[in-house]
Amino acid sequence: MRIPITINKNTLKTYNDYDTNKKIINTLQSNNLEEWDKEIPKNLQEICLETIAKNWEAKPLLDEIPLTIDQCLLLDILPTELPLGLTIPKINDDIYWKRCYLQRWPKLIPENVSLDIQISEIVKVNNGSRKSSTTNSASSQRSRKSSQEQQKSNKRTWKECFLEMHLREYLEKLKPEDYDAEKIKELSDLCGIYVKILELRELQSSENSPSRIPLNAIVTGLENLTELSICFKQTYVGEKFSWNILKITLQDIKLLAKGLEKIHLKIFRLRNSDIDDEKMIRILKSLLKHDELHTLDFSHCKISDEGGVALSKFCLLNSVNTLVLANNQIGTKGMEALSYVICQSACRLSTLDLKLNPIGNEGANHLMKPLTIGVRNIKNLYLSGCGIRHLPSLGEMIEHNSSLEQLNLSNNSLGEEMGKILLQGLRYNTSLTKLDVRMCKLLSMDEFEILRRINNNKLAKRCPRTMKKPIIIEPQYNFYISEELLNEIESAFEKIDENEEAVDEVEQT
Amino acid sequence: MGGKKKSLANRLAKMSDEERARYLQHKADIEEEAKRRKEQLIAIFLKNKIKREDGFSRLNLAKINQQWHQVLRLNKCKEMREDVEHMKKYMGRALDYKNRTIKKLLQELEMAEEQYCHNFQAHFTHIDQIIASHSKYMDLMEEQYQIDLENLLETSAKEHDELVEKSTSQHEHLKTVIFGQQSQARRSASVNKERFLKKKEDLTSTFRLQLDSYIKQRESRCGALWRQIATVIKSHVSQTDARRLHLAELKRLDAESAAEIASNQERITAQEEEIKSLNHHFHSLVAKRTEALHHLQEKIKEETSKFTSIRQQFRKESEKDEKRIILLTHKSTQAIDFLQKLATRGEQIRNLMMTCRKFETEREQVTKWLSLEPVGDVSVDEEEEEEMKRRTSAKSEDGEEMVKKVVICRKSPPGSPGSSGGSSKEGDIVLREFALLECMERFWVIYSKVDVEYMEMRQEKRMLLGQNKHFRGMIRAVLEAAALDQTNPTSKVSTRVASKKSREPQSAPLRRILI
Repeated sequence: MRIPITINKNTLKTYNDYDTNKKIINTLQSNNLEEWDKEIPKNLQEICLETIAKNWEAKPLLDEIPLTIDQCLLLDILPTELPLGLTIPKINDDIYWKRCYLQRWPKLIPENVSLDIQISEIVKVNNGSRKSSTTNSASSQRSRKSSQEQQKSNKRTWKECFLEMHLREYLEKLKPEDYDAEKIKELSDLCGIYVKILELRELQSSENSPSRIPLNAIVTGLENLTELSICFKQTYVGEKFSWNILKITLQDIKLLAKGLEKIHLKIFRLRNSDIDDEKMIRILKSLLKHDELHTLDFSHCKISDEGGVALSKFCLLNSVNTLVLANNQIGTKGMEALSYVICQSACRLSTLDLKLNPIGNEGANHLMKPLTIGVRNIKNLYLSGCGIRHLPSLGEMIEHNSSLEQLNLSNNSLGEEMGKILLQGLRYNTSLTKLDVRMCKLLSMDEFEILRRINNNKLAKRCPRTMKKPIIIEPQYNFYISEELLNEIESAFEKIDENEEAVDEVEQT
Repeated sequence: MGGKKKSLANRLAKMSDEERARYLQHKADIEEEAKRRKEQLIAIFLKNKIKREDGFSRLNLAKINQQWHQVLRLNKCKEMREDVEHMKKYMGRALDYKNRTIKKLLQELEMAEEQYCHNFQAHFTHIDQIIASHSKYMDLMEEQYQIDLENLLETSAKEHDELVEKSTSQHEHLKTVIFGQQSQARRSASVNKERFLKKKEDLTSTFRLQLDSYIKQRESRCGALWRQIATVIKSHVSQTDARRLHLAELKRLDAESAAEIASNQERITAQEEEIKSLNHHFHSLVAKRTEALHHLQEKIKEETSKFTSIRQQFRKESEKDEKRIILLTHKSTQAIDFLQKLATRGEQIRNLMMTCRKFETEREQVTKWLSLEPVGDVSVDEEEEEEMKRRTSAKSEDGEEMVKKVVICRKSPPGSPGSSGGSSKEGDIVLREFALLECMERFWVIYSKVDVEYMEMRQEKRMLLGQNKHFRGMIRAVLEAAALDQTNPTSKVSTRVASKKSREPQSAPLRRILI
């Protein structure tokens, strides 16, 4: 809206003669601020701006307008359905983009976005001419600072949000038959720079076959992409149900892998899809070179032991921080491999989410070993619904471990004896601040006691003076696994190469 | 047969009518018998045959049955086999069907599982989002709370600091004030002290002077008063001399009387005590005497009772004695009677013996005194001979001697009852009795000898009687024979006795056994 910076002389006159004893008849109503200036005739600036806005398509004028205030008003008035080809390069102010976004998706307000537009941004724009965001960011120190501030405060701009949502919508609704490479190229040229997070909640499949749009081209066009979440299912099917909507072909995965090799991701999520070990291994191979990758999410897929082995190899080669593998089928062997890998220093895993994997007691036993012998990396461990029963090594681990902060053991039928074991373990543990043992069939007394001790730990952490020094025990023994397993881990990725070569040969002939 | 017929006809002709009839009848009988026998035999034979046939028929029937059953069984086996095969097929089919249904169900289960997994995954993501948003909300709240808490803590800390500062400043202020006041007070105190000391000294000096003057005054007054007192005392003493002497005498009398009274009092008390003691003594004596009386009375009673009891006893015993005497007299008379009887019997025995001796042969007179023991030493023989001699010399007194010996023997054992022990008494008694009896042995030997002789004699007598009978018989026979042979011419009746002998069967004559 137009923010007046001078006071109208008339108003000044009126209010200077204002006598407190007089009663004012026309008071301002606070719920209806839109119409407050209906009576007031617009000034010329406003009318000019209105015309510019009407004819903006023909003649896009934003930077030429001298006063910032006028620019703001123009951005307020500009229609939001202008073609993106014009608006994206020209308009960088979030005022317009916020309007566009909220008009199109009024209910999907993104998080981490600055809801109140900072005035400093407008001030930043004040000085130089505005051409493109790239040159702008390098122009003034202040701008850099503000952008840095923005980055530090982890806030995203509305422009980014809008473009991400736009792209996402487009891709989610795109049917494989309508796939047009050129259009995709155009789109990626336009918005590629701004799109940092791409979250595809569904991908359409064609009617007959389960193949979907090839993702490699799309992905390669988005250079700044740091986060990619894909789910290969369809959310709304209507009357065209077939089992194909739930399946993925190997071809699709290969294309995705090709695309993934060319970009650098920080977070990769592939959830809720028909991904089994082979497919996962392909994807992992393509992700090997992503140095900044810190979160890997393969929840709700069909990964089993081989996949676990491959993942452990991946963790050795790549510095992944967080590994989310909820609701897969990883069993004992996979757990063994993972535990072995955790012992190695090359692995930087700090969060491991293994919910709803049928690892059972043996797998959990394997996992406890590295944690007991003093591995310092793992801070958060989620093991709910894993089929863990009576596990005394858990108590040992809690006793000796001094780096685990969160442990989730809910929904494992541990039994009452485990409650006692856990209590014993908690005597010496000072680092655990969250231990979730709901639905574990413990005695409520034990649960209460456990929670109390955890609470003590938490409180102690807040005021470090009173915190007890953790008892650090150096690792006494190494984690032994069988030769076969080692070999398997080593050769986890080579198998795919062989397969690929064989397949290629077959295709060639 | 013809020959037989002829012979038969011949015979018939020869025999008389009766005989013929008989013979024919006999033949008919025989024939009948033969027929009957035949029929019997036939019947028996037929029965046997029937039995055998029965047996055979049963056997055959059993065989037939068995064969029939076999055939039936074979048939049944066949049918059962068919049934079993049919069942097999049916079971196979049913099993197949069931397996297929199970497989299908498993497949469907897996499909359902898959579908559920899909649902669950979607649901899971939603729930995750919800949980994430809630946890963010919770975090926000916690942050807010932490911020608020910190703010509060800060403000409280600030306030606390302020208060502390204020308090310290005020504390100092107060301290300075106190110090000032203290110093002031000290100064004023010192000043006042000096002033008061001075005052005190002045006052003490004035008072002392005053005190001296007063003392002087009072001393003079005291002197005057003491002089007055002396004069008064003198006059008083002179006035009261006579009265004082009287007073002294009265006092002395008083003292004497008092002393008398005291001594009287003492005597009274002493005598009272004596009276008491005498009373006491009297009472005790009375009690004793009564006791003694009582005791003596009791004794008298006892004695009288004793006396009565003794008298009763005495009476009883005297009665008893009388009874005993009576009894004893009875018994003694009985004993005397008995002994008299014994004596008479002994006399009788002696008389008998005397009479028996008459019947004794010489040899017996000699041999009866031989010892009953086997012949041993010569000395024994000599003793025997001496005994014999003694015995033979004193024959008349033998009987008495024997009796005396017996009596002596009887006496001797009771003469030495005390020496023997208690347990062996009985044995000794038995032995002694038997010893006594040994004295009578000779007597019994003789007696038995006499008995034997008597039996022998009886036997002889019988024998002789038998012989006598025999002889008598013989004589009778002879006499009869003689009589028979000789017919009495005088008698009219024939005396010829028909010899029964001829009637009697001629058997061996019975011998007359002579006893």
